[in-house]
Amino acid sequence: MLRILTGGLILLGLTFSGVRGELDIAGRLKTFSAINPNDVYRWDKLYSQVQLNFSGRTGDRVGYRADFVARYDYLSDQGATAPRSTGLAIYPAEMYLDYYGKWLDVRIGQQYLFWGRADWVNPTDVFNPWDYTNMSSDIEDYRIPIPAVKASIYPVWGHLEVIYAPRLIPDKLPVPFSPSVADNRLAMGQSGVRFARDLSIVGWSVYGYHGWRKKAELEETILTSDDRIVQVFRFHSLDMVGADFIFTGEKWAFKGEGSFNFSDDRSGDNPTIINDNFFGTFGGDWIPNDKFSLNLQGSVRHYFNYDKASESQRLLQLNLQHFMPVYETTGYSVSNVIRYKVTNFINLQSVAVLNLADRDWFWLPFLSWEMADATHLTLGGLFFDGPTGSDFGNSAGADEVFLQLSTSF
Amino acid sequence: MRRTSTCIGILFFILTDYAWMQNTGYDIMERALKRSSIKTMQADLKLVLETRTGDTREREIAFFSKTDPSTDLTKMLMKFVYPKDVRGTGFLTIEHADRADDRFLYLPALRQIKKIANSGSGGNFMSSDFTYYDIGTPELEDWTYRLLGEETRNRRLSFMIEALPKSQQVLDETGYSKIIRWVDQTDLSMFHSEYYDKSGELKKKLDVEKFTLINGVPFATDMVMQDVIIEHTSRMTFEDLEIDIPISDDFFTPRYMQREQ
Repeated sequence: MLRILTGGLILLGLTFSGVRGELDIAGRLKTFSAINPNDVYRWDKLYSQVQLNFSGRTGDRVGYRADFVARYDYLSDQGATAPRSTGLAIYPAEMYLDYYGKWLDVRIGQQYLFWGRADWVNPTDVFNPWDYTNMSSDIEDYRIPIPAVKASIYPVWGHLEVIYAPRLIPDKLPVPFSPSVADNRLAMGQSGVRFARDLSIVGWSVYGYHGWRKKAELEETILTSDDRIVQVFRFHSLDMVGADFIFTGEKWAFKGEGSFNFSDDRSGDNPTIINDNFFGTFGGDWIPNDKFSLNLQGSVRHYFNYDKASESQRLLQLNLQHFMPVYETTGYSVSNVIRYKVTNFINLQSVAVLNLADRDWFWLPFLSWEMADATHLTLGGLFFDGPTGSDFGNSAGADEVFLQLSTSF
Repeated sequence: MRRTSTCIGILFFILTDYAWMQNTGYDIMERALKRSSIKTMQADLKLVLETRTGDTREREIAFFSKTDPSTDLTKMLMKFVYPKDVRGTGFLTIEHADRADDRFLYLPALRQIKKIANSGSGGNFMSSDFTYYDIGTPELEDWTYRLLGEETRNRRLSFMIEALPKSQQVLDETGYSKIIRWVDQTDLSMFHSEYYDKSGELKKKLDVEKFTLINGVPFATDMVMQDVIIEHTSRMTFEDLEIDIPISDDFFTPRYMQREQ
């Protein structure tokens, strides 16, 4: 509420102060519905949402943006997959001020910070948390903006980006409870730096990040004297160094992205903390014509100082075996994104990921029809399958078929 | 002997006449394409797409371009203004003489600038019936020209010029096995063109419905492209056109694409 009031006051101030410059007001209205194909008689999601965007410039040096979302959820479902409340929720989304200098741009406020040149699987994309309760085809639904300061410096020889986010905002998970961040002091902040350069047909970047994993990990379960089970969660640190590249040509592009991720369990002794690991992806785009494009990527994640058998044993000793996933030391996956223009106004897209070790998979196909200018009807589905305990196998049964109608104004 | 001399004479006359017609075709096209050199351009570009069933969609784009007169290489920036769902989307193309163009796409929905591969100059421009090749200035040396004759069309006395691709690469990149252009004899404006696909079938027709004089040179500001095979039409109009205004090179960089409007 405080953030909404603050954002509203700033906006009002800009509106009436005479310094608003060129204010642009736009918005988007959508209605989203989803059913679980395993239980077609029950709506899984049904909501309407309007997003208002206020943006503009005051002169050449200053820009601003403030987005507000008002969402009415028609359902109340306290099931394991989607905790939510009925009724109206109003919240700010992005809200920031920009300064444009000669060689320096600064953005301060609540914002999205997306890193990485690969598609869908981005090992270096570590700033913004995910909202797993709100998966759709719109990134504003499934990613959460965070308060941050971003300075972008443009020397002749490249682009340097320095980011500081003072708070940790965790992933939103489809579980009946969400571990709260222990405190929001500056000690829970995140910082990062990125350098990028585009040279001829090659573009590349290097990254450094110091911050936190966005999912809390279960440290211990305690059985109290009155037979209650208390679970203790903790957010663990994450330091990342990474890089990416892209080669582009006529009708094709090759791209790769990788990161070394370091936790606060450097020796790998603590089974409740994800081990140091390398996460990389490599693939390419093929665009033979303007009707069809294909992206194929292969990914690998390797955990250092990790032994699956001894990890499982330690979890058993701590009585955490039901709460912590056990990984393969090295896991491979493949993903693809296919886009096909059926007609000038109908597009088909498909995103799929397959983990090779467990053969668990995820598939997001959707068909989008531009019914009129700025009005789209989207029909799609989210499907998961795989053995229990695997990444996507754990979500099997949470399949969705969704229908979305949206219009922008 | 006498019959042989006559045959040689007739053959010589035919060949020189054929050669004259070819050169004339090239000469006309050269004069038509090189009448003016526009260094910068800024305009509001409107596209109206119409299907065979009468369904229409509108696109409005803020268009900026800058050409280096020494290299003839062009940078082009387009930002979508309408429809509202794609407002702010930016598309930047930087031409290179020795390699594929650099293309950057800014998608506000993804908050990212992506360097992208491209589907070639034969790819459709913004889902319209115009390709990137159609909206650019034709490359004179990529084609072989032949003057087919003269015709009065739309009350304009014109040259009819056939252009054939000089190489397989041009054919593959443009998708055209032949282009026939009608060039006004008075002002050398190309007011009608017909495009043939790789199999030699008539694929598209272009009619320029309005020219605007800029620096004394007619510039096409209202064009209709009709795809005769799928019966789809696109109208492209340029409004608020400004030529040779100062535009900084910095403007044609990914950095500027993501700034607020």
